[in-house]
Amino acid sequence: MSELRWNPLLGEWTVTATHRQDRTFFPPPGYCPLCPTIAGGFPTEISEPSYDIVVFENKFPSLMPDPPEPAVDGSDLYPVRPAQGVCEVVVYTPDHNSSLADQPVSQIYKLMQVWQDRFKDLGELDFVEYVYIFENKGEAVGVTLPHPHGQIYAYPFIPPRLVQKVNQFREHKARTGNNLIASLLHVEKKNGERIVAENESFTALIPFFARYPFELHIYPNTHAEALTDLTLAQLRDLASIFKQVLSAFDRLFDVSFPYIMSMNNRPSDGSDYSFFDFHVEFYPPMRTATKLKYLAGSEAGAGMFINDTLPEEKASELRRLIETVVW
Amino acid sequence: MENEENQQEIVDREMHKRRETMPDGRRYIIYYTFGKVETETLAEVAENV
Repeated sequence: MSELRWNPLLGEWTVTATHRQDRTFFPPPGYCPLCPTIAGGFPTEISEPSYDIVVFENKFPSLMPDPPEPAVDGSDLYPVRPAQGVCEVVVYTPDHNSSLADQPVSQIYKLMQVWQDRFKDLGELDFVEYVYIFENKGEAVGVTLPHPHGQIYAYPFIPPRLVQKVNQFREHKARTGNNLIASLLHVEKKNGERIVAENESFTALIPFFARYPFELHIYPNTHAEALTDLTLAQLRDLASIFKQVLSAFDRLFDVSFPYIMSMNNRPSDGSDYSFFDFHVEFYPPMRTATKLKYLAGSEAGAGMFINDTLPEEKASELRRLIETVVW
Repeated sequence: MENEENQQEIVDREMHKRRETMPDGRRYIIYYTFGKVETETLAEVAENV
């Protein structure tokens, strides 16, 4: 059963995807579906023995290009629609016992190019209005397959968080004449306390308004609406800063650091988004070596986050762990 | 200097993609490789995807 169900309380869609209840859950060693298939071994999703990066449609998708009709009848109060879209899995490396942070920066650069290509391809589908590139990493955020991978969801609408952001970006531009990211960077570079790393094309910082102790944003230093606006040189710089911040994350508590990576590109519905800037956000749940930040009443129920730490202090901790990238 | 040369080598590696249908007959898989390979270049595969 799979359909979009309208939430009249929030004015947004929810996907019901009951087939996902049976998706692969911590497979035993030798049965990872994201590893290359070894001759005579368990047939995985990937039949080739070697590749740089592979992308395939999720076996348990929340959205499908050719979805079934809704299994329930809709109504004026509860409209329903087919769960149309695309869900892709992006496997970062054939190496099961690895992570994005462990990859050489050259591999991360390849991933940037793949993401750019997927954003372009999926954005050109006529039923897609938003292409969302993301990664869930670590059991602490609910990952059930440890093999290094991310996902791409191509939605048939602009999802709520992006609607909110687009409105914020538009309002700021209308009010000030400047793009919001440019305004933020102007303040942050002058202040310096929250900057974690920077290079010619990008700046990584813990935001002034961080909701998680180590929430980290990456902003382009010059205007870019989406990955597809970035040159290869800028993609290399993005790969470098990814390598720096992800490696620093791992050094914080000497563990493979869990996080959600959220890549925010402009929508793909063909409208003008010249006021919007591409940016990346990381939401790591760890607040100390032994404690997690949970989304409890205020966050989940009221949408207001409470951060028990100071962004300036956390930025200082992380900045000390940044190392130069070697290509 | 060696770093700059390595970076240039990385820059010059062309991205290749090969799209296939998965064994279930309904999903696609795309293999991305970089460098000199015997598959089509990105431009040539445009019709396939």
